[in-house]
Amino acid sequence: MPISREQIVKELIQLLGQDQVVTDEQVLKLSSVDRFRRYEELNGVFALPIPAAVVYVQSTAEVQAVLMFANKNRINVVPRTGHSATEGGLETAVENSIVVDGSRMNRILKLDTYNMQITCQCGTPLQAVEDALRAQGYTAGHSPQSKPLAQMGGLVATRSIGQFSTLYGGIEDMVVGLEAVFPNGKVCRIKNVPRRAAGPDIRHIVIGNEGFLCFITEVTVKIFKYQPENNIFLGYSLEHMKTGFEILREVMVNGYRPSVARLYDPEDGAYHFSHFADGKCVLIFMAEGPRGITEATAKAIEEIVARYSECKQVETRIIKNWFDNLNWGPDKVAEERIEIMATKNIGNTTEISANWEVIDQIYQNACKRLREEIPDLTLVGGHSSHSYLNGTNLYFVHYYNLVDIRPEEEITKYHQPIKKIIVEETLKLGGTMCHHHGVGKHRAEWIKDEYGSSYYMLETLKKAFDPNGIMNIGTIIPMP
Amino acid sequence: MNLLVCCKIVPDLDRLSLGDWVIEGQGRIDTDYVRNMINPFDESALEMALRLSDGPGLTALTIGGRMADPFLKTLLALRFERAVRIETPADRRFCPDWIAALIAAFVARSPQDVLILGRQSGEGDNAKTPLLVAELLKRPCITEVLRIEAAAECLRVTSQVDAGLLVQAVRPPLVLSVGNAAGTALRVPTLKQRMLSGKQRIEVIDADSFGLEAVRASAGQDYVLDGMTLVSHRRAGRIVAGADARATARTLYAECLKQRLEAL
Repeated sequence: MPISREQIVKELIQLLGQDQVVTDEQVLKLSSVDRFRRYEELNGVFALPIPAAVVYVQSTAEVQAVLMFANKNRINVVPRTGHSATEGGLETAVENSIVVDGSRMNRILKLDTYNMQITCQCGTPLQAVEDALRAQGYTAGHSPQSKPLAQMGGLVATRSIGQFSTLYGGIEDMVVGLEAVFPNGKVCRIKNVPRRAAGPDIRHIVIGNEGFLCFITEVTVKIFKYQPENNIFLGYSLEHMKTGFEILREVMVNGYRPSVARLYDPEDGAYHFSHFADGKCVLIFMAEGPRGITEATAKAIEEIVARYSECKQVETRIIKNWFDNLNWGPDKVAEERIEIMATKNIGNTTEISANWEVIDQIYQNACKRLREEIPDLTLVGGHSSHSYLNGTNLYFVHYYNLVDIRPEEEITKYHQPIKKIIVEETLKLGGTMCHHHGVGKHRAEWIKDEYGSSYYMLETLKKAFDPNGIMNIGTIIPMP
Repeated sequence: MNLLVCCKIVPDLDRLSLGDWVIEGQGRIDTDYVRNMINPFDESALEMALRLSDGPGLTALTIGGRMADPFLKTLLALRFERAVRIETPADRRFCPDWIAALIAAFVARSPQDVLILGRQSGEGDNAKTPLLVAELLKRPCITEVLRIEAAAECLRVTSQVDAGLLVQAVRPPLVLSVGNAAGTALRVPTLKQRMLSGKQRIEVIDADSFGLEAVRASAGQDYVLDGMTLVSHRRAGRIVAGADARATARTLYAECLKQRLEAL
C-alpha cells in the first residue's frame, strides 16, 4: 500500500534532516516542470502532479538512502542537478514524487593535469569546471549553450553535446569513469582508464539514462590543453543548404576536425546574421588546437569552400562576435521570459541527426510539413551544428505566436504537433529523433520506432536495474 | 489619420565585449560586425502605432543603409502600409539636426498627421531628434509618451512627467516622443503574413534628393571622439552567510531587513 504524502516527507526528514527536505509550495510547483513547460510556468499554471518534496542530497550515502526508501515504498524519483532540461525529463509525472536534487554535491574532487582528467561531484556547474581548468591552461572542451546553467551529473545523464563537438566529441567521448547509485541502493563505480576491452562498455548504461535507471553522483571527464591564441574563425554566406551539407561532408570525410562546423538556413540565419547574410545560408568554422593543426585545418576548409562559387567569405570578427554571445545564462533566460510574455511569441528547438545521404531531404520534408500544418508559425528553420564522418545533426528552430489558447494548450496546439512532424520525417528516412537533448517525456511515445528491434535491450535494462519502476517514470519509456 | 513612425536600426551594443570598444580611424567605434536591432524606444513606437491602426495610414520611415531592409520587411508583414528608407551611407550617430531635417522634408513631401519617434537611441544618445522635428514642423510635441489610445477625433496620450502620469486628449497634427513604455514589445509577424507582404516594396529615397547637403555638412561637426572611460555600474552588495539556512535567514533579517521593515 502506498504511503501518504505526509509520511513520505516525514521519512525523508528523518533520513536527511529538515534543512535538506523542501516542501515549500512554490518550490514544489517549479520542480514539477522543466523548460518544456516554461510557458505554463510563466503563467503560474502547474498542471502536473506536484512532488511531495525536493530533497537536496549532499553525499552518495544520502542518495543511496533516499533511493532505497523510494524503492521500498514504490515512490517515483526524479533526479536532477542544474534544472536546465528542455524535453520534460524533469517533469513529475505521478503523484507524490521525490525530486532528488544533486546541486549541493558541487565539489571538484581532483584535477589531474598529468593524466588529463578531472573528477567532480554531480552538482558541479560546468562553468565552475571550465573556470578551474582555464585558470591552469586547460579546457573541458564541452560547451553547450547551457554551460552557465548545467551541472556535470545532468550533462552526463542527458548525453549532452557542446558547440566544439566536432573536435572534442560529445560528453560520451569525454566521460572516463563515474559513480552511480541504483534504486536498490547499489553504488557502482566505473574506474578511470584510457580504454578497456573487458566486456561491454558499461559506462553507456549510465550515460544518457536521463535518471530512468540510476542517479549519477560523480563523473570523471577528459581535459584538454586550452590554446585560444591559435583559434581561426571562418565564415561564409551561401545560397543552398544542400551545398552547405556537401561542404560539411567534404571537410569531415577528408579527415579535418574543426571544433565548430555549423550550417544555418536562411530563416534561422536571419535571426543571428541578418546584418551580413539576409536571405542566405551561413556556414561557420572554427579551427582549434596547436597552431600547425589549426592553420592546416583552416587552409583545407578554405580550399574546399573555394570549389563552391556560391560561397562568399565574411569578416572573421562577425563570426567571433556571434560566438561570444552564444551561451545561455540566467540573464538570457530572464530576458526570454519577459519577451515571451510581452510578445506572446515563443521559440523551441528539436534536434535530430541522420546520415549524409538523407539529411537534406529530412530538412526539406520537415520544414515543408511544418509550414503547411502548424498554425501561427513565425519562424521555421534550422542549423547543423555537430558533424561526423557519416552524417550530421539538424537543430530545428520553431517560433510561433500564441493565439487564442490557455497556457496549457501551448504544448497541445503547437509544441507537440511540431515535434511529431519532425520526429516522423526523421524516423521515416532512418535518422534518429534525438541528437543531444535526450528523449525526456515528450518524445517517449516514439521510442519503440526509434529503437526498432533493439528496443528489447532498452526495455531489459529498465527491468533489470529498476524492477519497481521508480526511476523517473515516463522518461525515455512512456508511462504504462 | 496618417501616422508616421520613425525608427532607427542600431547595433545591439550589449553584444560587444569590453575589448571590442576600440576607437578606430576617424574617431569611430566599429560596430559593423555586430547584429542589428530596432532601437528599443522606436520598437515601442512601432507597436503603439499598430495598436492605433491595423495598417491603413501607417508609414514606417528609417534613414540609413540596406542593412535596415530586413527590419522594414518585417514591418510590412505587420501591415504597415508603407516602409520607406532614406538612403545614406553617412555616419548618422551624432547628426540629429540633419536627421530631423530629413524627416521634416519627408513629411513635407508626404503629409502626416501624427509622428511617433523613440526618444533616443543607444547609439548616439542625443535625445534631440523628436524635439527638433517638432520644432521644424512647428507642431506640439509630447515627450516621454507611455501610451497612445484612439478617442473621438483625438488621441488620448499618457506620458510620464515629474509628478506622475499625465493623460491628455490631443488633436493632430503633433509629434510624440516615446519614453520607456512597458509592455510595448513589437509583435512578431507569422510566416503567412510575411508571405502575403512579400511583393510589397520598400521605398528607397536618396537623401541627397531633399537638397539638405548644407545641413548635413554642418551637422555633427562639433563632435570628435577621442577617448572613452569605462563607467562602473556595480551595485553594492554583501553575502550573508550562516551555519545553516535558518541561521542565514536570521542574520539576513536582523542585519538587513529588520530596520527597513520597522521603518515602513
